[in-house]
Amino acid sequence: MLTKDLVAASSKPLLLSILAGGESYGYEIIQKVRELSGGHIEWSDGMLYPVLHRLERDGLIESEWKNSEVGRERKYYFLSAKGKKGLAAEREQWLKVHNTLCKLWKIKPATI
Amino acid sequence: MENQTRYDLNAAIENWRNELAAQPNLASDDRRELEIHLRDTISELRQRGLNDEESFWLARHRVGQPQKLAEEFVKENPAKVWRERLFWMIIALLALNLWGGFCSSITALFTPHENHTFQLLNFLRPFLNVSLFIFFAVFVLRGWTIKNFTIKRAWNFLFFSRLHFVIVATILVVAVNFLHFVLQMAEMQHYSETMGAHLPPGLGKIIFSSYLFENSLWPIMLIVLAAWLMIPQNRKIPKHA
Repeated sequence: MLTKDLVAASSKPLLLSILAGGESYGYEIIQKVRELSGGHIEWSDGMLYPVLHRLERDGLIESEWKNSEVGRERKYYFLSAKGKKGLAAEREQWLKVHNTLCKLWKIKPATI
Repeated sequence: MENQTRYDLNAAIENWRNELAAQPNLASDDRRELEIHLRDTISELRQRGLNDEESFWLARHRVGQPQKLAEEFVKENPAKVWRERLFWMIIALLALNLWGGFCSSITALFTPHENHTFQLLNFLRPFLNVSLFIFFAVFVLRGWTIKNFTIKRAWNFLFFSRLHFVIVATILVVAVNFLHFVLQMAEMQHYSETMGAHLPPGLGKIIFSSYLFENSLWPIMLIVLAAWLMIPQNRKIPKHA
């Protein structure tokens, strides 16, 4: 399990990366994170929305109420142009941390 | 027998919704989003074979305590909920202004002809004005539910976008004030005629400008303010129909 601080810090790059793959809504995003992390990153459902709303206020993502296939109205989030740039910057920073740690621990760093 | 013990899922969700609505720091949009999340979770759990009651309680646990949720939401954007409150206050003021103008018009409409009707209406006017307040109060207490489909459609149309809202509300304000002006002029004409006098030639213009600046200007300012505070809904027609 990740610590609370790390969960908070990693939520931004995770959300931007998920939305870079196409629009999505809160429930689906949580499922995806759980699945991709093999259950290691467990977001509490209700806490996700404040994070999404903050990203939206920062202009990194946008939202829209739409009807889904099952007829249920959902708020879909998608990446904005600013969000694409923001994601690139996040990626660079996280890889820098990752590479530094890899060097220290003498593991092969991930390819950029 | 089975019916007796059957768990009422809709009632449980309704209760949960009320609990959420009791949190003063959650905007209606946030509550809607959370409710859909709860419903999605319940659907998934039921598909996995849990019964209604189990699904509801597990979903409720996953989504989180309403009070805790509200704390997290307000941390993210403390001004949001006030923005929404201010918006509804302004809408209420606007509605009261429109209704007041409408009631005055009704009274003015009968003035020149029927003295008794006029007196009756003048007597009823404060009650008419208050009736809107009562309507609003009932509306709020009922949890903002509009059952009537046509009202709902009109509502959605009005708040579809800022442009829609500004156009429709401005037309309403101008129309009500213009009606009031015309009727007031007719009333004055009638009185001056019965007293055998003529209205001063420039009076119409003076009254008209007073209507324009005093009665219409501030509601229009309210409209602009409400449009500025309004959170656009972006409700589009479904992509996959």
